Amino acid sequence: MLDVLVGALVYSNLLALLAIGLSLMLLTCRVSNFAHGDVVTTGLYAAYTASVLLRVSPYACIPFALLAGGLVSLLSFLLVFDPLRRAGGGPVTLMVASMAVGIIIRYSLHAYADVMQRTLGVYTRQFVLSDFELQLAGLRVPGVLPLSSLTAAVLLVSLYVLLYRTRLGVAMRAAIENPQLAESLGIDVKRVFAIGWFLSGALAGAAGVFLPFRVISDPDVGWSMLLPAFASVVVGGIGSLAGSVAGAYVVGFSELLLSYLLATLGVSTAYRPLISFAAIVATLLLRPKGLSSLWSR
Amino acid sequence: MSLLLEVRGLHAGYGKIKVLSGVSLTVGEREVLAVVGPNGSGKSTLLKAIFGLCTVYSGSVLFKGVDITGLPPHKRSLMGLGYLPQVGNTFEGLTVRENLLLALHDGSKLEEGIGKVAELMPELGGLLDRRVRTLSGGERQMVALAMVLLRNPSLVMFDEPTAALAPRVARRVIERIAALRDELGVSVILVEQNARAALEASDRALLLVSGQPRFFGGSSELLGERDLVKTYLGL
Repeated sequence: MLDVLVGALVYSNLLALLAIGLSLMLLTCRVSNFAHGDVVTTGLYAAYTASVLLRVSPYACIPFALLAGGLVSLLSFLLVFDPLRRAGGGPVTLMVASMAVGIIIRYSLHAYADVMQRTLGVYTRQFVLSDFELQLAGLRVPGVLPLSSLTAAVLLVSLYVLLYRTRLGVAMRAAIENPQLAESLGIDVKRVFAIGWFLSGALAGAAGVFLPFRVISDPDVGWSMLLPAFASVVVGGIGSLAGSVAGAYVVGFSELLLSYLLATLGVSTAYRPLISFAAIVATLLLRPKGLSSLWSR
Repeated sequence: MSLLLEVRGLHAGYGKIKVLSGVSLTVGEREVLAVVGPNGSGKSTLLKAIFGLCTVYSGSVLFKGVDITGLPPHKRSLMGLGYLPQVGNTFEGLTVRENLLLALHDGSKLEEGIGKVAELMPELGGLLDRRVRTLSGGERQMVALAMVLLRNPSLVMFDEPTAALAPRVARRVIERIAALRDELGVSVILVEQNARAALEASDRALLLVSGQPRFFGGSSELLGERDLVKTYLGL
């Protein structure tokens, strides 16, 4: 049972890092970005590569994951989503384009994984990384638990401070609410949105670092995180950043606890994705504004 | 008197929908220009075209002697061109303080700016930490005006500032806007439904009809053109 709770917390931490970026991209470009899961994988391979080359723990390579995830996300904004948005592309056009971007990133990573395996001589497919263990309050827990919690907390609090305590953050919220007025006040909306995309990608990249400590990883692993991350956004309330984070913990815990329950009843855990999807449908039908309706009008 | 703004043969609209054809005008320093005309004649579009918010097919806009036709709005704003749209002129999800912060070119001068606003509009002093969404219509307009003035513009364009106000209040607001010229030394372009009050408060006037200029000259001269005034402005 402890294992399940540890798993749920780690999983929720990662979902939170993903979901808040998905929300930010929805707010800035009205795009449901299906490429975001593959940005996670980009961070994973960036940190893994750096850790092999520098002979340090992947945990020490989080900065590389932040940078790689941020850059890929920024490039997708500059090369694809911003031009499409300016040309008047609607949400459906942008969503389909994001699927294409996701596939491009994923298969580039497939190619990269082969190159990496050959040149660095490490497994890059179907691999797991061994974690260290530590004593916490008399319990033995894997290192990924405190480290992913700390990373998520630091990054999410930093994002909050940026958005609510700095001029850039105020400008970003302003540009989201009314881009035309923001432009007229001298805010370079494209630049502000580009920074938002970089940050979204960086957070997703950081999430990638922790995946190989929990699940068997390959270039498709980030993609499988995408749908529960979307579920978190919907459950939290579309358009609410705080809601996305809350939604991530609700979805993460219910997915793991319910599938644990199913497993004890003898039902295969392969049915686990059902839980996220049920959460999406139930939220949209019963409370379309999600958790955020609890604290905002 | 030197020219602040010069619009030459402007054809503009939205994508395929052409609204303005062949509009020319000039605004000098410390001058108030009223833009009047029937509904749907392109008055608001003219302001948007000058500010860079719609499609310009041909013609040019010169501000302080520089051709700004192809410039994005935020650069025009930095040059000293102020624009107060009819709606959506504040960020409703942000506080008054945050709105004022964004209006300043230099965020470090926030306290100084707030002091200036509190002097011009004492009513706003107590509302700084309220979200704009929670303010009354009049208070919101005041926030919007404060935001424009904080930027030390040399030309401010108002799009129907009196649209939602009672006629008597409207006249006062128009006079108040015209007085900005003397208080702050700015030029003003005023798009108004309330034609008589606008013409009486302004130096010069442009009459737009179906996107075409029918008169450009002194405001009192336009008031003297009985036929034009009667046909198009109902005065």
